[in-house]
Amino acid sequence: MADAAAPDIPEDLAQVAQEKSIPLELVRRAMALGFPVEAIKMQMSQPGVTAEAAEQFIAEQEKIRGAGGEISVPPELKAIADEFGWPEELVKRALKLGAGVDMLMNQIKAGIRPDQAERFIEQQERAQQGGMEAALDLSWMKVPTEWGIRVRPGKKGLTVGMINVGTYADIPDVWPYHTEMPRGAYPLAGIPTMGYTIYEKAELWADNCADLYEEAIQRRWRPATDIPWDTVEPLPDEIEKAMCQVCTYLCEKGLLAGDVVGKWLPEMSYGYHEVKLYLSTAEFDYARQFEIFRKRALSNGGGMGMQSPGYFHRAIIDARGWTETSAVLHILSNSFVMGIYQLGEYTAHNEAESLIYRLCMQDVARQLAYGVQHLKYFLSRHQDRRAEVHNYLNKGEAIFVFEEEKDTPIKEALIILLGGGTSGEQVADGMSKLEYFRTRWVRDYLARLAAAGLPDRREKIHPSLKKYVQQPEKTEAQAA
Amino acid sequence: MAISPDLLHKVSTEEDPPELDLSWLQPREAQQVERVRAGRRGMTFDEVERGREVPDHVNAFTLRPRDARRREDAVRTGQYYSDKSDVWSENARLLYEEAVQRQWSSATDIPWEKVTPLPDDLERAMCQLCTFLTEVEFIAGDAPAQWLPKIPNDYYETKLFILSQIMDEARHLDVFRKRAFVNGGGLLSEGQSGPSLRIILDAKDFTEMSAIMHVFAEGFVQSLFRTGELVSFNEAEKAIYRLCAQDESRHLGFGVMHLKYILDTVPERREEIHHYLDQVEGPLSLDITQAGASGATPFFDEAIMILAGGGLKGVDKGAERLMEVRKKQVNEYMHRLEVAGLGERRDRMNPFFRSLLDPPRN
Repeated sequence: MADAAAPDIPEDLAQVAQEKSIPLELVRRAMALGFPVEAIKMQMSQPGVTAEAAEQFIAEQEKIRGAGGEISVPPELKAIADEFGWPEELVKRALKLGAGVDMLMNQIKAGIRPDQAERFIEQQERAQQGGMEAALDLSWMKVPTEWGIRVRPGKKGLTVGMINVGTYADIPDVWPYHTEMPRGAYPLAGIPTMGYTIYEKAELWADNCADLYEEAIQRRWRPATDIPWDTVEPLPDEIEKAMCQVCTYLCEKGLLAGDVVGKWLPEMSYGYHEVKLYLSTAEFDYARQFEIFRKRALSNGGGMGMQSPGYFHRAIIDARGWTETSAVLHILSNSFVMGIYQLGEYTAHNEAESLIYRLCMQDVARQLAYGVQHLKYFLSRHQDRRAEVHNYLNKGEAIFVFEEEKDTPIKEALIILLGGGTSGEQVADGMSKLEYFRTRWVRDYLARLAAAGLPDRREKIHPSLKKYVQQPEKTEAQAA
Repeated sequence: MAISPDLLHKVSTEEDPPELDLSWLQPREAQQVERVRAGRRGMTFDEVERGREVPDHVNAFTLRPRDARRREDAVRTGQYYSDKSDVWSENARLLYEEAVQRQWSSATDIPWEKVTPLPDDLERAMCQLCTFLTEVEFIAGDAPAQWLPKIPNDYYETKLFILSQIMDEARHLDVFRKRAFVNGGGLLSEGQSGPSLRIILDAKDFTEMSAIMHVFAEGFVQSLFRTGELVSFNEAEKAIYRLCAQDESRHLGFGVMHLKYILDTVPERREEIHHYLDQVEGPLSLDITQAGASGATPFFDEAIMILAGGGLKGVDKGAERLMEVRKKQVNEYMHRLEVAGLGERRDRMNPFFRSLLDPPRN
């Protein structure tokens, strides 16, 4: 016969008790102690809860709770609380919430401070009164950001460009936040600055960076497995050494670019994430550039060649602004790297090398495209800084020319590859072809600068490079 | 004045090509290596580096790649770490190769069409979680990036790994932003993790950065990703968490093995490393509670509770599950420290974390 004074057990609670093989009598005793039904249900649902553990817990709670519901603190717990400076009242509140004596002693001994515990206890008391839901803040649910965005994937999947919709497509000229808040989210007060230094869109933006990011991912390739390495056959010693010298040069260039962009990434504020995304793919491309050329150098009996003098590295490393860095790295330096790739593809001795250079061309083409579009954007917003950009290029070209003169190994390696050997005839042929490639890269370099809005660079280019510049054809009248 | 025939001949004929120097080509100086054939996994670094030494100490002042011939006249390009132990991880080479093989595209590798409308409370919680993850993920790109110019090219394996991590983190930023925009939602509130993120950026040493970012912070994110089924409602979201977890495990792998390397080779740094962990465990764990709600990131916690509980009405259950996630995070963190050789951390871990630890395994 049921005890008339005992509380009724709701059906769903009884069901949980049955599933966990916990006697209903224990459930009644828990309810009599004042624990809310939901809390009992939650406790019983936890994995590992047994009838024995429940009995032990209830018995302990009955011991510390008086008939009127007042809580008494067991002496061993009180001693620990006193030792660690926990007020008795706080301990009682914790016990009232159902904290086990042993657990509480362990927490106190572990070093949890009373103020920390109090915040938690308050939260739990609120939760006990109105359920966990009542204890939540939920202010983030009501922030006034644009809601209801539903972008569907297109032919190229779901691209970064596609999700720039509504207010999320507003890319401000100056990003006002110093934190990592994503563009379009709602700012919180009090978040510390992350120490970025670039907050102006013109200082880093390029209209093509979202597309370049997706393209870089779609066109990813794997040096270990995508190159037909078995087609690399032994080459004459001087050819292999020349190839390895070029590989060494490109390895060094790859790691240099990785360092330089790595240094600048943390300077770029979060409002322009498209730029950070694209540059991250460029970082991965630089790693692959190093990887592929080191593997080529070490795989065919040659080995690493000689390091470069490093003067031109300094022209890139020493740049004090991102636009300067980008102009010298992405446009000047990469025009030359692209020239080496074109030359490499022309002189490739096997299918593997040919493919390596073609794939590397794809990668560096994106870097060039970013550099050109960034410079274009920068100049469109800062017409007054054209002379400054010319000065960066003056310095970069001068150091580039100086380095070229000093870097005998790379120059001679290119000549050997182009001429096919070291005989007088081959060297002459190699030199003549190298002049052709130089002409090509200087013209391409100037064409890129013209596309970026600096068509006048052809008049200002370094004197040593000017001879490669195609002069406009004279009109008949001028010729006469 | 008549022009001499000799001069006329000189200007009318092409100059003989100057002789090449070719000293760099001399076999006695140039390095020779054995030819290498691609192995089962292709032409990996393990194949091409077999038998080659990685020096324990270098005097690096230039960008000379390892094994390249030194030029005495090369200009200095910076100051670099000189000890292998400062940056090395035995698995960096392997992890980089794996990263190259396992790249994925958030545009085309996620079945976005599987994302179907959710009740408003769930969609909002999902979007808050995505806002948080979009926010925090790229700190793990910015932070290691700033160390690249300090790592000598002699230890290029670490550089390549870091470069691959920067790519991974970009993709994570991107995929969570995309998720926020595909299902009738949007971004919500900035998170509250700024103080913790600052600790990572403030690191003054590569090992400090790696311990607090790779082992601690990314470890916690990884444990969350690995329980992604708790907060996923469709195949697209499951794929996102699975793929992100795959990436994160590489980052963690690097961090744990770097920590192990430095503890094995420079044991006197043990106490210093504990100090870094003391710092990073502090801000994140200050208010971790029994219910798993952390005062440091309550918006994040609330979003997880709602998602894991199936909605606002289920937050009690969600709180339990968040607690399970927290326990998992702390216990997996401890396990990684044990693997790295820092098992004594168990006794000096932040008290809130310690209270979530399972008993030690024998």
